[in-house]
Amino acid sequence: MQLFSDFSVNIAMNGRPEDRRLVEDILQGRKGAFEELLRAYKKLVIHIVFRMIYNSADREDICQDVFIKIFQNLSSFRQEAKLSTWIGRISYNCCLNYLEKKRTFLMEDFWYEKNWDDLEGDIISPADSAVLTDLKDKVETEMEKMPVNHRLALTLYHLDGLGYSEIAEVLNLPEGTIKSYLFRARHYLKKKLMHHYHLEEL
Amino acid sequence: MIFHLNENDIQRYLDHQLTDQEEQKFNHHLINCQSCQRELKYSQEIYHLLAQEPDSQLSPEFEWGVLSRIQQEERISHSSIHDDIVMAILGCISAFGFIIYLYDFNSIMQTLSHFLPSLNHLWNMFKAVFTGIPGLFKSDYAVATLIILIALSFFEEHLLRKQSKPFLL
Repeated sequence: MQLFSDFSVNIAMNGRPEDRRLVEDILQGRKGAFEELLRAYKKLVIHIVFRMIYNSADREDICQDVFIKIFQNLSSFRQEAKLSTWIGRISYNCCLNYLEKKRTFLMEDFWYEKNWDDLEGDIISPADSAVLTDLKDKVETEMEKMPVNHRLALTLYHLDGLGYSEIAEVLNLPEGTIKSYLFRARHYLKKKLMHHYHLEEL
Repeated sequence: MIFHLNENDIQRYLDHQLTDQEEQKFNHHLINCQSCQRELKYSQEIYHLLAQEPDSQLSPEFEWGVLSRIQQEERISHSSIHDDIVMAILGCISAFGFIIYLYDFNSIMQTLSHFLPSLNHLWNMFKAVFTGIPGLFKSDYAVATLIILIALSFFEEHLLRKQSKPFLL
């Protein structure tokens, strides 16, 4: 079943002129143009793939596949779209196809309700807390436990600077759902770090 | 009863989603409320942590790997256009050979040379080369057969290159 293989995404946003030029250069075969695109959007692709796929052996192959799909489908890219959103969507679909093949399913929305209760319970002592050397690692550890779409929304918003509507286009979800994911994920992280890792002491 | 800022207000403030009026109220409350100041500080800390680049590294050969795969893709797409052109030409030559078999050859050549005078000359040259070899090709039909065989062998070679197994000769 090819549920997630639609790469000619219908995205209605204003594309940046430099992106438009870059795409035209690649389509006209200018040497080094695709290399520019690769360097400009490598981080975005890595962020999405690494957030969605935890099998480190497959991550690099998936990142490569994403760029090959970008190259193969560039002629179907609509110039009024934003290149970052289009590339994000391709990366997301590639990862979903991979997860579907591996029969890994995205966690459902009730995850917070199920995991919220243990907030008040097993508080990690400062000694245990010291095992995780810095707060960044702690955030990473907590994010790994979250549903895929929630941690992906956090990454696209905070690391890649995408807006609500752009994240909604990448994940193919309503904007309101993205806002709700972001709110719940941040609130969860804040409470988790405050209770488990004594954020107030750090 | 004291109303404090809730998590939704704090996040909307940090996301610059509050209206001017809401932001004014927010700031006004914040000045006098230590508890909300603390909540805002924790949220800001979370935002700061989320904006830090995770340790996600690819191998140094990653870019080289992608670019070489793309070069391969380009080669395949160019060679497939080239193959299509060659196949079309060979198909025309084969069809010409079969027409020679089916119809009276001289009348075809007369009609064609009316439009393309050099074609008749070319055909005579081609025929002279093969019929000149003693005991080999003595008739127009034999030369036509040769044309078809040459065309088919090229056809086969291109198919072999495109597919893993031959289906003609």
